[in-house]
Amino acid sequence: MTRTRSSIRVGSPPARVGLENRQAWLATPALLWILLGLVVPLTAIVVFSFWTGSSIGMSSDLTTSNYANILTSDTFWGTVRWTFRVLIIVLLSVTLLGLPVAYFTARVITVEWIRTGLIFLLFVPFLVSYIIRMITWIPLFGRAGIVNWTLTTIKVLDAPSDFLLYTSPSMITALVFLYVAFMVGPVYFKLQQLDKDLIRAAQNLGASPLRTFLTVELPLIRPGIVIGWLFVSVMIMSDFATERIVGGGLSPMLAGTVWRRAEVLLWPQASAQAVTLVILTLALASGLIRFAQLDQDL
Amino acid sequence: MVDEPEATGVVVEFEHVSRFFGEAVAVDAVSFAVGQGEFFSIIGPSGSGKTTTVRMIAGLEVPTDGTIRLFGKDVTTLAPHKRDTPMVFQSYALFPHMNLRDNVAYGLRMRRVSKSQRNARADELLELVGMDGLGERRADQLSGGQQQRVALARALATEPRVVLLDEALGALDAALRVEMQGELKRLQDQLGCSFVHVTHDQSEAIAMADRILVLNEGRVEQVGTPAEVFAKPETRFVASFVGQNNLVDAISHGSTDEGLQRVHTALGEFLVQPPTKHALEKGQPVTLVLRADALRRVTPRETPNEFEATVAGAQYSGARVTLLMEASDGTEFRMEEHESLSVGAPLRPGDYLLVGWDIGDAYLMK
Repeated sequence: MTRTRSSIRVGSPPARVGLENRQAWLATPALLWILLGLVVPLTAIVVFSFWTGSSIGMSSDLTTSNYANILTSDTFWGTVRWTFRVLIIVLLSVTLLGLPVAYFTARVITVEWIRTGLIFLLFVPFLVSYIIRMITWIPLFGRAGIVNWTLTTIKVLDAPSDFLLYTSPSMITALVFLYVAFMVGPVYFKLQQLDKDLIRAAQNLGASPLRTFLTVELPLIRPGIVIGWLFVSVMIMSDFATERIVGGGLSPMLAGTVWRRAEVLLWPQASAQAVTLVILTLALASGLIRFAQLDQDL
Repeated sequence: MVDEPEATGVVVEFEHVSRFFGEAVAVDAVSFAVGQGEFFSIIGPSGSGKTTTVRMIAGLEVPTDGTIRLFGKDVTTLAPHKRDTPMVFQSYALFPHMNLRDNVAYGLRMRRVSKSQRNARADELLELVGMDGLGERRADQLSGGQQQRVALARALATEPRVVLLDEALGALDAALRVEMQGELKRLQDQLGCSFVHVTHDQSEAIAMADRILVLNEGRVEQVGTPAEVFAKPETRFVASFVGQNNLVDAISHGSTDEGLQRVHTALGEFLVQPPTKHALEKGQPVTLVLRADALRRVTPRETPNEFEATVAGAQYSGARVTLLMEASDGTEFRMEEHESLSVGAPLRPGDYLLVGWDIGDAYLMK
């Protein structure tokens, strides 16, 4: 007990190191879990990506042709461009939709339990499985869905439209609705943390509400926005199902392409694409962090 | 209320201003006026409405009722950014994402002053508060005292005619606080602007204020110079809140031939100067105010006002010691004396002392 207390005291480095070492053991189960669940499969995928594929499976003959095929494929780069385009549209949309929601909840609602309740509501859809959430788009936006039925009944449309489902706009809409909560969350918490005196000080020095937002609040919640972008980006980069269920597989995204290769047991090709996907995602994430100087703010 | 600000002009004026938060009354029909160049302190315990009051000057709170005027203009519901009433906060509230120069220049930037001009002005102000050459630093690289100087420079940058200080020195340690008090007074003399200063610390108000307003439960208890508020509290609350006063319930009991007021208390019968404003009727209940430092050890019959008491404890602060005393009837009171009086013969709890005061050192309050 005495040792613990003395080791917490600032200015006694040797004791503090001892304490940190002991605390480090707390991370062991998590580290083992990560090793087992992340490092092992990832290593396997990297190894497979250099193996040779054939119609009956794969052999351990090392080759770089999987990568050569990907990197010289116009289809692949087309998919990359399309994926990033979708990503940018979704990020813009979740930002424009999410910021006002977070702002409203954190600033306008003054009763704390209502605020907490609203944030909880945002995550209620996640109590329902992903498949159910996505399948419900079909009765809503499908050919015989509610929207088409309403539009044809009130004679806005002569015949049911295919535009609402199995198109890229419908896929993008679905992605925005799926992930907007991950944008609202971090921004909301950052706004909650923000010292209200800073806002008072800005207003006091002559800043209108809009200029207070632009010059004080926005820069200070930037880390929250970027964390939201990171969450949403990583999830979109790995989302292989939405493009199928809502997009009808007509606007393929990178993760979906990996899935289609794996489905037909083209393991080495699928692995090489997966590795490329991981590298692209890491590049994107570090770019975002760099852009936001997040490493300095956290 | 006792004395109006000098005729050079009224800067801030409150007329029956009230602020309710739901059912709770934060500020209750408060009226006062702050003069040009005046250092005006608002003191009161926490929850007395002093922060709400200063925020209403800045427009950060809107009154439920009443009128607020700045320089004679009705600003009761004017948005904060349309007033020129910069505030210095207890939390300093420096913008963490800007360097010190940009912090100080913020008010000028909001007024669309060109970058070169506002930076020059910001450097000037940083120099004024003794922080020259530190414009590139960020707030988190500074000590509390330094941050407060920058916050002050930021408030002064637009040359406001009134600056609000909300417990501005509250987060500083004692020595630094005294240093900043001197600094503030120097700046005020130099710049000639008015200060409205909110604090729970009465010594800070005595040190700096031209006039003090005492708030309690949202109501004005007294307005006056520090000397008036401390020497002549007008209400029981002020008497117990400022200084160290002992309040003794008394009944008026006629006058002596010399024109002194005779009063009955649980401690005995005493002679006091009669109140100047209004004569007392016989049998009227009053409060006898005994300053702790007016009480002293006396020899028998040295003064007409004496009583016996036992020592219950002592609190030392520097060369002064406050004795906690208990009179024969159980009334507790405080007596402040120089520490050297106890040298050689230290007092112990339970010791008897004959305590008294000179006639002019106590007074009566209704």
